[in-house]
Amino acid sequence: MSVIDKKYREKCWLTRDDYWKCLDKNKEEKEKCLQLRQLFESSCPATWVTHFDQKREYDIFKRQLALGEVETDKLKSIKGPSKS
Amino acid sequence: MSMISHLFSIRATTCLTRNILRPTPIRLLSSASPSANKATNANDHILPKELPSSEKRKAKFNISWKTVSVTFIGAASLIAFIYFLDQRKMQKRKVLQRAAVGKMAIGGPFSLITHERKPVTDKDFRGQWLLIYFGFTHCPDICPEELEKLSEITDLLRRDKSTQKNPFQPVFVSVDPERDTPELVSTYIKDYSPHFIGLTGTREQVAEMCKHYRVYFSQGPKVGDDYIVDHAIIMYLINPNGEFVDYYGRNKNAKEVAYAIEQHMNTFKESNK
Repeated sequence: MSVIDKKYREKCWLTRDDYWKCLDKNKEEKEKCLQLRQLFESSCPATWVTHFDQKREYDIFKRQLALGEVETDKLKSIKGPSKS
Repeated sequence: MSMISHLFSIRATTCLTRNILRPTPIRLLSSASPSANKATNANDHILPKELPSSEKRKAKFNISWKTVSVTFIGAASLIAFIYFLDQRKMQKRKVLQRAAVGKMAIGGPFSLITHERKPVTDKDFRGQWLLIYFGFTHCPDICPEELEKLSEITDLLRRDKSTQKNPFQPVFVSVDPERDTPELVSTYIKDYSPHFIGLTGTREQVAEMCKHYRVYFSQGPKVGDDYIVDHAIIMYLINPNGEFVDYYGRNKNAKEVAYAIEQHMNTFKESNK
């Protein structure tokens, strides 16, 4: 079974969604979702795991940016040293 | 629409003011020349400052059903006419926009093999509408999403029997020629639609086509033997003459893309009668 199989892909996405739901409930605390993480890592290829991790980080950052919740030091690195 | 509201406010101001507060001729003359009144106060028998009391009683607001309905009918017909002109202008602009996109130097010859190991070139697709999506079979999430969308678009367009003269053909082109053999592509696309044609080839052939279509693609970092290919996520519409017509990104859903393609098909039919 490889990524070419639709069933394989769908199982991978399901384990990813379960893991992400756990993170949503536990405010991104990865220690509380270790089992689901293991299942996720075993159901998807390593490159996909990295890809989805990066996607999650990016989506969270986008949401925080939209809500204005980004920490000031992160914002500074984007906006540059304009504030004193 | 801003044009309409602007005109409406002008029309309303002038029309209503004129009809409702209809001034008498004497009042007009006196208000038009106030300085003259002050200067020639002594000889002022022609232009009185104030209305005589008899005239005052007559100068009341001239509102009746007749004047109000005339005002509204006049205003409504003017607005309807302006709306009609506005719509025509917007349609013309849309047609021009599409024509402008078509003038971009995108597209060109390609020579690849299908998922059934049949060699094809762009010329083999003349007479058909092509919607081309560039992707790869080891794609984590985006290609599956876009191919589902492409499948939905295909179903929507194939429903219309009138497209049979120039049929709609969805095409998947692999930007991962090292891994994506025709057999692999065949297995992959069958999960999305029986109508897809999958194309692959040598690296040179794929690179050549991507150059013509301005498609960016780049092999990502390897993890063991595996890697993800970073690539542009766009569907390209080619008309039956082999010309690039339009492109659609992730922001449009299947219905929106199918509708846009139908517009192009109709325009093409009109100009090729």
